[in-house]
Amino acid sequence: MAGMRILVIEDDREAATYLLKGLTESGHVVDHAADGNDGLHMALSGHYDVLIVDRMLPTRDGLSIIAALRAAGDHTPALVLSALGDVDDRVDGLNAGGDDYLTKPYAFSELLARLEALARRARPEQAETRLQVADLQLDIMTRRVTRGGRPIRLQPREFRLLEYLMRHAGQVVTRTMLLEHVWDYHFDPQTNVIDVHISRLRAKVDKDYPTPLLHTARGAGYCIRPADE
Amino acid sequence: MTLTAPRLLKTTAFRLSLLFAVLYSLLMAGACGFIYWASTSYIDHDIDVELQAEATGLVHLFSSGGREDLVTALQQRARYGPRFSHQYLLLGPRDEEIAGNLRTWPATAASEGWHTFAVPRRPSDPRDGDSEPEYVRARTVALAGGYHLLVGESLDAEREVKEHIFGVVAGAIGFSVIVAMGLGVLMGRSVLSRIDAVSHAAGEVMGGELSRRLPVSARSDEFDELAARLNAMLERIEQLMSAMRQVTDNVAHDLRSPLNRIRNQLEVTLLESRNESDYRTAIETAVQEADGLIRTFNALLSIAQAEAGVRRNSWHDVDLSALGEDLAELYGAVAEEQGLAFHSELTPDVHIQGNRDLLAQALSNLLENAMKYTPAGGRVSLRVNRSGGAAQIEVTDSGPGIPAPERERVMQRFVRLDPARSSPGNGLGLSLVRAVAHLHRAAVQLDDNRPGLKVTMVFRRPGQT
Repeated sequence: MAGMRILVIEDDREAATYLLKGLTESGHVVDHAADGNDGLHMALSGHYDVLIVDRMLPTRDGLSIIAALRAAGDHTPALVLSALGDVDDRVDGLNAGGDDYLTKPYAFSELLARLEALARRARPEQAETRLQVADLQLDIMTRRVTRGGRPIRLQPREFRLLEYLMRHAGQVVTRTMLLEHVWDYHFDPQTNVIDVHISRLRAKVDKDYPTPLLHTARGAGYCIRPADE
Repeated sequence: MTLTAPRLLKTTAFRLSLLFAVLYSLLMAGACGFIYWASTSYIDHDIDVELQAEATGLVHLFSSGGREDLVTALQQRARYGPRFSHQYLLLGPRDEEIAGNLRTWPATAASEGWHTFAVPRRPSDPRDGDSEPEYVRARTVALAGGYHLLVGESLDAEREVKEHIFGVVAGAIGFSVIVAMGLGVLMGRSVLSRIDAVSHAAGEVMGGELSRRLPVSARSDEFDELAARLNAMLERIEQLMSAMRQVTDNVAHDLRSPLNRIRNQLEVTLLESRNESDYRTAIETAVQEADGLIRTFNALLSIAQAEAGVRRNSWHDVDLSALGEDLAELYGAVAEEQGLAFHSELTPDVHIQGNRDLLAQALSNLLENAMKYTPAGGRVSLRVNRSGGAAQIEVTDSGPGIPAPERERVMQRFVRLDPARSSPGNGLGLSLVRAVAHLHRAAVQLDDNRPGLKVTMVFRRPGQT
């Protein structure tokens, strides 16, 4: 999803420069605020698709910016960046109204994937119950999956995995995002456990068909999209 | 610290012994007062008995021998002089003095009865300079024919005895008070010196001598018990400090190697100009190394977090059976991929209070370890059940196992049994398992699965300490 308007509220000059450069190169429009009060004022203007908020900031901390925005009825998705990585810190961040939480240091591809997922989630067409990517169809209500009209039998977890990928069709989703949203775990597995599940899913969804839909984004994660994109 | 007087006065031991000295002296005074009273009244009674016997004897003499015999007897007795402390006086019918060594009939004495009266001292009295008059106890008897007889005894001797007894009693009280105070000081000093020894040793420990221990004597009294307890505490602190140092050393060592590799690769890449794909490869390698470092740091932080304890607001009821089922589903696929037979036995509804994320991470570490070290064709299994009311998780494999002497060591940070460190991993997996188990008051046990490794986590029953 190209061309997001992003506000970065980050006081660390180097980290901010790196973010601005990376996000701009990825095709997004980025504004920067270096302290909490400025950040809140800019965020309140309401022009942004997604906010990146550092947790510890001068003049006003990141969580209170988000809390103030939510109190003002602004629901722009916000991703909290923090050097605090405890389970409790993440829970605090999400309780304050943050939509996602990323611990420093992080991979830029991870950040980008999460931002796109957040911006997509904020759009209203989320409520649809039938997802479609090329000739692959998934019905959330009847839990039926078909490709080219032929039914595909999936285990419950495979169904959730495919559902998550299809909800973010065209976007890269990282392994950590899959582990968080499909399995509800918040830790880094040391092995290729997600890859194994993806390859099983791939065997059911892509193997017998001429055009693969489930692609590996090298060094980042996975993406489901029609072949011609 | 020295035993200065003001410090000594403040000691509990001294104050207690002072209190005891006062109470003890009061008790002594009571007891001695009673002894004094009992002995003096016995002496008084003795004098009266003697006077009565003498008077009765003289009355008999008068009634049998008449006035002549009585006078003779009195004169004989008077002749013994002042050393014979008895005093006599016989008055005739007209109150004239007939015989006796007492010069005048005391004014207060009736004709018949008991009297105590004072007589002025004679100049020849050996108790010269004594301003006190001489006191006399006397029995008076009225005889036939209007005669009156007085038999008396000087109370000088009795007074001396009483004074002596008083002196002894007062001395005894004084002595015991002094002894009690002295003992108080000694006890205070001995308690203080033992406390000073403890305080001195504690000071040395604080000064950095962690191996210093408090003195424990052979008396095994409460001081020794306290010192032994404190020593056990110091022992634990020293162990923790040394474990800490070990960890710091390991962290430094294990993080330096990858940093060094990154640095060398980048430096070599810079040595000469290369094409873009070479640069890209070098940068990708560096990013991978950096990711490895970050993973190691994250693992260390997770362990530290679990060891420090998590805030209780993220503690919930965790369904271990459901967690086991989830992980079995997650890792079952990996096992299948690696050609391992995986099976799980999950007793339903095994619940504990805890942090689901940490437990999931610990359990996934165990499963990942089992799958990493078990060769294709082997077996890995996961069990969640209850044993005697305690929740229990068991992960077994058919891999090479861990030799018994190494089972404790592998749970330390960065310890890996593969000396070449060829397999992927950072040597932190079991450390995290142990820290998470500890946080959830569970015991981790590594056993021989014949063949392979069996890791058991036994959670204590609620309320069990």
